[in-house]
Amino acid sequence: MGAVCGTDVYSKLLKEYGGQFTQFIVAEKAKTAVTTHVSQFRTQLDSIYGAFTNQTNQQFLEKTNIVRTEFENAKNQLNSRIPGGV
Amino acid sequence: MAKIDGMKNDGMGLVQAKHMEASNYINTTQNNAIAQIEQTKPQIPLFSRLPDSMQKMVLEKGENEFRKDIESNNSKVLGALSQQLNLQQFQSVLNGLNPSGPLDGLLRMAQGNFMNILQQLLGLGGGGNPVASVGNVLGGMGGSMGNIGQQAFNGLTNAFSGPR
Repeated sequence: MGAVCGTDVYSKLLKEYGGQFTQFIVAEKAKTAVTTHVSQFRTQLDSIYGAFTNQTNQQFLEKTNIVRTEFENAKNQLNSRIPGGV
Repeated sequence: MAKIDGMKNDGMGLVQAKHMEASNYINTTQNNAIAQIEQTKPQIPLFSRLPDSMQKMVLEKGENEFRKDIESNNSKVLGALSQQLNLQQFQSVLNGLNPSGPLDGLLRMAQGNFMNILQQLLGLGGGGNPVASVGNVLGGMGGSMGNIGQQAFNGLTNAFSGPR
């Protein structure tokens, strides 16, 4: 019953609005296409930013460790030359 | 490590800010594109009054009937959209970011100062007091080494000034 009603409504719209109805359908589908495209784009971009964030985190970790190691080395060098040590 | 943690927070904050900026731009671009389509879309009051299920049915039927028109129009719309949403442009923004720049500076400074200390210890430098040099390094780093640096400095100072 619903399908029959849908068909009837569709026919009525097409008959009543003609080319405007076609434009309407085309525009509605364009909106859907835009939304889908943007959603996919956002997913890709989030993935790129996620990878960059992980990479940056790793760089911070490595550089922090280098600073710490440099300091420990210098501290040990000093300690080894202090009578009695620290 | 408070200062280094602060640098990390600033750096990661910069990345997050750029991500948010990109997200806002995407939202705006999408809203503008939809608004532009809405402006040129004919008004069909009868359609608006239909229940959702009926609207869906009408759109599906229309999609089948006007597939070629829809594909042709979508190609144009998405082509224009792709010029505004270009992954390479966003990638170039990321490539231009250096969140760990301040830490790099600290690292260079620390390495330079530690090398001076080592040179002095090995008798290669221009003399000076190694403990004072450590103090200068710690001072120059603005307490960035936190407890480790302070404890070491205190330890070294005590070693020189303590009971002999």
